[in-house]
Amino acid sequence: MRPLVPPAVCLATSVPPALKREVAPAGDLGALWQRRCVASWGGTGWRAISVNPEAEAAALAAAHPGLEIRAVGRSAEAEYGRPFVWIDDLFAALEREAEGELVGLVNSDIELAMSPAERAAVAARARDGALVIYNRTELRHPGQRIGPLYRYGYDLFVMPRAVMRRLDMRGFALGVPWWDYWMALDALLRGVPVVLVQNPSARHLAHAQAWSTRNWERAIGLVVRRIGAARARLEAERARLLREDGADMLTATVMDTLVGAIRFDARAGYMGAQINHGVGTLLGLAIVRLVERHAHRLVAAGQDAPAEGLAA
Amino acid sequence: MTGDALLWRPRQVHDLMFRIDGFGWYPPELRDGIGFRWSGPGRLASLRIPFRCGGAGRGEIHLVEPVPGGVEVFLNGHPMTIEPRSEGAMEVLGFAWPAAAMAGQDVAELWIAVPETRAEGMPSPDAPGGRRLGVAVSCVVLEPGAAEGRVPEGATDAEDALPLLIGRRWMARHLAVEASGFAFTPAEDGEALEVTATALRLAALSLPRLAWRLRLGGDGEAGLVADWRAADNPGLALPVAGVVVAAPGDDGLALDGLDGLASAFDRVALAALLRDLIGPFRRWLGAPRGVGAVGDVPGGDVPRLAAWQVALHRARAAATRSLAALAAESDLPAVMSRVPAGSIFGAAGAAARAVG
Repeated sequence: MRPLVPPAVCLATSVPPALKREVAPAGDLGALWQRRCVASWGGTGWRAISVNPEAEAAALAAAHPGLEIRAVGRSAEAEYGRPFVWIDDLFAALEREAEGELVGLVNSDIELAMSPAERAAVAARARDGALVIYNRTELRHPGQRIGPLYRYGYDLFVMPRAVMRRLDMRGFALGVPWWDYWMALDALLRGVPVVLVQNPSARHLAHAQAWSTRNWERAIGLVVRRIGAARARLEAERARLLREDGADMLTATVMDTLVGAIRFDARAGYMGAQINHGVGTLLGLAIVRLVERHAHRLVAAGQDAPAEGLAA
Repeated sequence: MTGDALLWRPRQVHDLMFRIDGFGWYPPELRDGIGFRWSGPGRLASLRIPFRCGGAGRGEIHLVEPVPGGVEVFLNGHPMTIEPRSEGAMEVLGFAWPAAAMAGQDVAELWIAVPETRAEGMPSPDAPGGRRLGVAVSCVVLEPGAAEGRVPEGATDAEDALPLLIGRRWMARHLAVEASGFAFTPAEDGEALEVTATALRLAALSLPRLAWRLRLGGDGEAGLVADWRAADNPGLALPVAGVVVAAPGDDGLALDGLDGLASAFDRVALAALLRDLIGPFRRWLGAPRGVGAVGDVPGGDVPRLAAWQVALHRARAAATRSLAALAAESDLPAVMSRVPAGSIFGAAGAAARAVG
């Protein structure tokens, strides 16, 4: 029997004390955009909490009076140079805060333009045991409603609490490259159904790359080590994927060798940075392709318009 | 409101950063983190994407930049009406396909044609004068119209039934048309297509050369007439005026004209010749012309070539159906083991090899 009330979803994120978004000719619209993002997350049974280092909590509360803030006593600053919040701390907060069975993560600079029907559809799919993830839509100005879909990253994750408990996100922090790829890949490697939604409902105001090369290399090191650890237990599955892909064993072996050649310190030797960036990009593309096998679009029954177009 | 108010529509995303099947594409590139390929040097490019969909659907071609003058798109030969939309710096070409475009197909073959290519102006080792560029495609998205779940796969049509009836290995040995080359020449202002096969082998038949003429029409809608008599075949006396691909009511496509042939060998041979034409046609289309200009449009008329593609697909479906019927009612291995006396291929064909 279908429940009368759609399942609640508790999202976690980490809103920075200040956001800069230079938009010509208006100038810095970061504060405006952040308010829009914060206002967009809740609704139809969904709520959001922001997990921040203690030092940020007061300023953040002043800037966003309605935002639920949960302070944590540590950050990833020593490892990544900025006070990012560990994904594990976001998960711990969700364990404590979520009233229902569904939890999720959203990047803090994402505005959710989701109708109640779309939220309900996502929650229903997650309740069936899937990890539902979204590509973002890139905007150049807050006034835009449409833009290109950015297929090379994931910005919203909704899942059952039981799936969250299975994911191994040690070492990854919100704001650090690769965490989104690894979360999707880790779910797939653990046999969790992943559903990629390509509706224009997760809006992002475009900006220059904010992450550092050092953090990129550190995080890809985590991904490569985890893939290596997963390989032994997944050899049969890997062989099946290779067959389905049409990839021959030589190609796969070459790819393995290349990925193994990633040097986690790019300065460690000749061509280190070049190898890292080339092979890392290939690895990222391979993950994107794997996840896109599960791509969907949510449409209204009997219509061909994207769900977002029917929303407001 | 509950979740079933919206439908989950699966979509197949074909990223051009990876290996592709088709012609008229340069190697993949990255720009601002977005992967894509340029089409060129000719103005026609093709993409063959494994895809099964029993009905209508919609697709998108994502371009990293708009194309001045627009783009023509064909799906399995069917012209698509394009609905372009800008998404930031990118452009998305949306289209909806009718069920006929994917009927009986397990591949979505997209043709993308630009009015003309432009010079990149940047010389490269492969193109000292600079590359000729058409359209920069990031990905192609295909969405079956089915509302929920992947389209089920199954052996339901004649294309699948024929090998089940007579065996794949036997088919490959006795019904596959082999030739050292196929030539296609547009004739009569594009209304006809001359086909010439050289060093042709088909079961017991072996001919140094066989030519025939194809004409569009026959049943009023993308029909096809194959006429062996109209072509120049010295040394052969082929009395076959025409084998017509027709759609006789609810029975689906069929070959009309085979019944007049006395020899079962001839009926099978002509059906097999028509069945195996789409592959050589595709290879001819994607072959380099001039100085390595893959994607140049022979005859200059993409819609006409697309009509030929549709007709040849229909010919394949009709011929497969006919071959399945012939296989069901006769002993094909025995029939194809020798060229019988009185065959339309005459003595030249009969001088052939014996196939056991």
